[in-house]
Amino acid sequence: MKRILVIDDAATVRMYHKSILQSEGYEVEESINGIEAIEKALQNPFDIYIVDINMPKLDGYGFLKELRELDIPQAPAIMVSTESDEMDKKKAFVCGANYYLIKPVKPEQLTAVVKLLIGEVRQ
Amino acid sequence: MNPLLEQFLIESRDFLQGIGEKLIQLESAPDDETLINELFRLVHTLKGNSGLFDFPEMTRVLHASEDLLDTVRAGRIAYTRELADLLLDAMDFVSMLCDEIETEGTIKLDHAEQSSRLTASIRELIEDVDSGNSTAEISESSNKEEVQFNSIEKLSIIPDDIRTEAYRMVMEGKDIHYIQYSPSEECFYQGEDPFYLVRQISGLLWHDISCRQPWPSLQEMDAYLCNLVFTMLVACSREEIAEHFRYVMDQVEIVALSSHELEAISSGQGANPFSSENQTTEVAYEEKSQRDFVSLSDAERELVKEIVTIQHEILSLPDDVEWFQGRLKAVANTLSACCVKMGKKDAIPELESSLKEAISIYNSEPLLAWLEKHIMATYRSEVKQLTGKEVTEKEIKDEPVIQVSPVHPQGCNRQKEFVNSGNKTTGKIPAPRTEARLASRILKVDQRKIDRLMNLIGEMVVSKNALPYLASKAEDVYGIRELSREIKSHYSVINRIVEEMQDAIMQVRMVPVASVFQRFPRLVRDIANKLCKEVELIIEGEDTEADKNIIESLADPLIHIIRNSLDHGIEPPEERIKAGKSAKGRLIIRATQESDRVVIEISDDGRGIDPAHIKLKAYEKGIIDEATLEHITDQEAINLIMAAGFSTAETVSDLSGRGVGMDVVRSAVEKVKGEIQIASEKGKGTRITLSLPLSMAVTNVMIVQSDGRKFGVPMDMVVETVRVAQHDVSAIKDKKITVLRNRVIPLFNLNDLLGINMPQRLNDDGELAVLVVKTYSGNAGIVVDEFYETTDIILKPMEGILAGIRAYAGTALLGDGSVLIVLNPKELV
Repeated sequence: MKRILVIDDAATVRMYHKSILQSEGYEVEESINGIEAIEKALQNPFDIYIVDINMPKLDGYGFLKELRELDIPQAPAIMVSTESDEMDKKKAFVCGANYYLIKPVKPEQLTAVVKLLIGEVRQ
Repeated sequence: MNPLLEQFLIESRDFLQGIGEKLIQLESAPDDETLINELFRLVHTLKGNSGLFDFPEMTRVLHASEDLLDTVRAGRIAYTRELADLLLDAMDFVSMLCDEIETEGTIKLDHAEQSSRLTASIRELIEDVDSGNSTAEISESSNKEEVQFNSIEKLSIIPDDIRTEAYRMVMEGKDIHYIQYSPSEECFYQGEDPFYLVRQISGLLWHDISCRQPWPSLQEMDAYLCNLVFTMLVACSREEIAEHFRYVMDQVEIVALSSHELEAISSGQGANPFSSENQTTEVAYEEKSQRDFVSLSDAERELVKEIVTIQHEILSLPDDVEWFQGRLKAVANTLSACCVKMGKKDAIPELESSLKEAISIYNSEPLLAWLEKHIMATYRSEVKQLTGKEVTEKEIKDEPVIQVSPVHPQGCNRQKEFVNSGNKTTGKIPAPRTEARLASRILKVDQRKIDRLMNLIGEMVVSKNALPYLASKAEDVYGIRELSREIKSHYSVINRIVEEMQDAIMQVRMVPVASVFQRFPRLVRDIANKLCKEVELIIEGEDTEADKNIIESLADPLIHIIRNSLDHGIEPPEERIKAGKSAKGRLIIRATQESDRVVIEISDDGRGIDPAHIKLKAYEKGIIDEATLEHITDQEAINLIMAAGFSTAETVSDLSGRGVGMDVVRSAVEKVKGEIQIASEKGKGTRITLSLPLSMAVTNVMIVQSDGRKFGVPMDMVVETVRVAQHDVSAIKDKKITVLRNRVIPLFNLNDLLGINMPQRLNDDGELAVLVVKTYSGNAGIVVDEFYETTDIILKPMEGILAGIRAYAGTALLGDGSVLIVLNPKELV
């Protein structure tokens, strides 16, 4: 089964994303910050990362940069945040995101992107 | 309630708590950047959460608060008390909404107004700063950016043909402006006709009308207030627009549109009539792509296109970052997924090799080439616009976190040094990784579940107690000593386990007093502000733990004591200075654990309690008689403030005088088997000490017998048990007393107290069994027929109509299945 990691410090948002993705039949795990997410990715890499920007300890940008330095399969990452500034978007892409969604994400929006990106991830 | 909403409420409460704390902390350290950032993050996340639901009232206020904090964070506005007040009000409002969502499931309509009001006052604060900072752009500056952005978003609702027309006009050198006109609410009373005004502007290409705020329900809507926003696209100069809207310029936002902006939002589908090159090739590619995309819906095709375009953009970014390889791989994976979707699987092997090449030469060129060859050519016409926005050197420099550092071509295998490299490159990873792990190990459990466990353990304790009865029955009735002994040894095992279980569950229920104390900084601050007093609050021992129920029952009494202290105790600054004290009063709340009790001390350095004043008051109110007035000691007088119906405040103030006095505090504390003591010195201050049990789950009672019935008496009220020979009982007037170690102890027969018409029995030596207990007026002796052992019971309070009988503390089930009534000696005597 395809595995997705939802990284967000807000439990409500995690639950929201998780329930949407689970109903599509994906296996979803959660992390409350970038550090925890890196640890999880190291143990068992995911097929897609859904990353919030604003988090304590290690934020979304930091997480992406660290993730992209790891020697694991580099799955697509979707940045999700309320900031919709062009600047933030650009920064997300510089740091290693592959797509950008603005909160609150509509369920059909999220599933469409995930379905598309989860395709076949090379090892 | 749906689980997501439930989660939202639980989390919101946590956030609101955190926000409140941070706001208060910031008052003493307004320049603490970490605090402000943390505060911003909390508000930001809360806003994000609320956005998942349809609670516009809440989101609006949170959004404004977030913006305000962003202004603070940027150093454009100082953190002041007014600002804190406003934010605290806003958070109170949000918290109230949370309560309402919890009870009603939704937010009632009548909060919309308050929400708007709060939002407006927060926005005002932001705008004040903006207008104050730059005199050149009044009022426009703050909204400008937002409008600029929004306009781009909104442009997408303009029909394609009109946009194409506008694009053409711009190319011809005409001015195209996007206008947003928000007439004032009262415009109809000011002789304005917004619709007419809009229709009359020259060069109007397109216009749209929307509502500023969600429409209220019909019965609440005021049709005479304008709630409309007009947006339009016009082809005329800024001067003409300014002239046209000259009476309402403050309500109009004008954005000049460039061809670039019109292009950027032009939907990918709409063929751009102005990109003239290679029309024929394009058509050819388009046909081909149509074939590839045949199984995809329009929306999916759009999405693929968007994602591919983004990957192109990413590949065009500078390569001077350490995670460059990972970025390339991720892009390749993303593109590969797109290929699958587009039915271009055959392009994937080439993608692989391009990726390898790109990594080896540390340059994204090979991947770009692949992208161009296999996909981009298809989209060329549209894509050109997007890649036109090349990343400039400056933009990269604005990126604060990335450090341009030497390239590591073989820096592939980095995971082992993750922590180190993390610290080095981002400086953002705090060392204790275990902390993150710890956080995820904390389990939040509904209190009901714990209460249930608690009840089960209670039942376990009771049924375990049946074993000794069984053992003695085995021996006495059935005469099997062996079995009796085995039951006993088994009992000791079960007993140990149950005791441990009990202890474990107690631990779960233990919460730090901080959960109550954390409200106090805010409370003290607000009250002190209201009373124009200066107060320094010192809280100590927040980590002290006690049972959740006890802690919770503490909240109200403590708040009342604090209010009293601030209202009656601590003097206004002038008075304090006159009395030779510092202007700032001091209130100390200290919690400590003393053996099996939690002791909470609230002391202030205020004016103290004047015993003479109390005596007089008590006499006036008829609480004490003349005789008592004469001989009462100062300490006894001070204790009188806890007598029912006593309130010393000359005038009932808004704060402490609400008809509840210290007597309510006393009974609340005693309800959880706590004690309260007051010490005070006139002019120096007052100290109130509450002593509470750590846990009230299990009560140790002594079983006594009277007239053949058994009763329990809580051990914490029993001072001692004595046998008093009948001839040592004397009488003062008509009251029986005895002298115990040179102190007179009044005696009461339990039978008399309970209305049983029987004399107390003497034992064979002609002695009375006297239970010395604590009462409100010192120790008293209760004469019973016989004492028995003490036992642990789970005390169940009296229910229904019986709850009104204060003489009984409750009932408990004994091991042999019988019900024990537990007395409350304080009320009995």
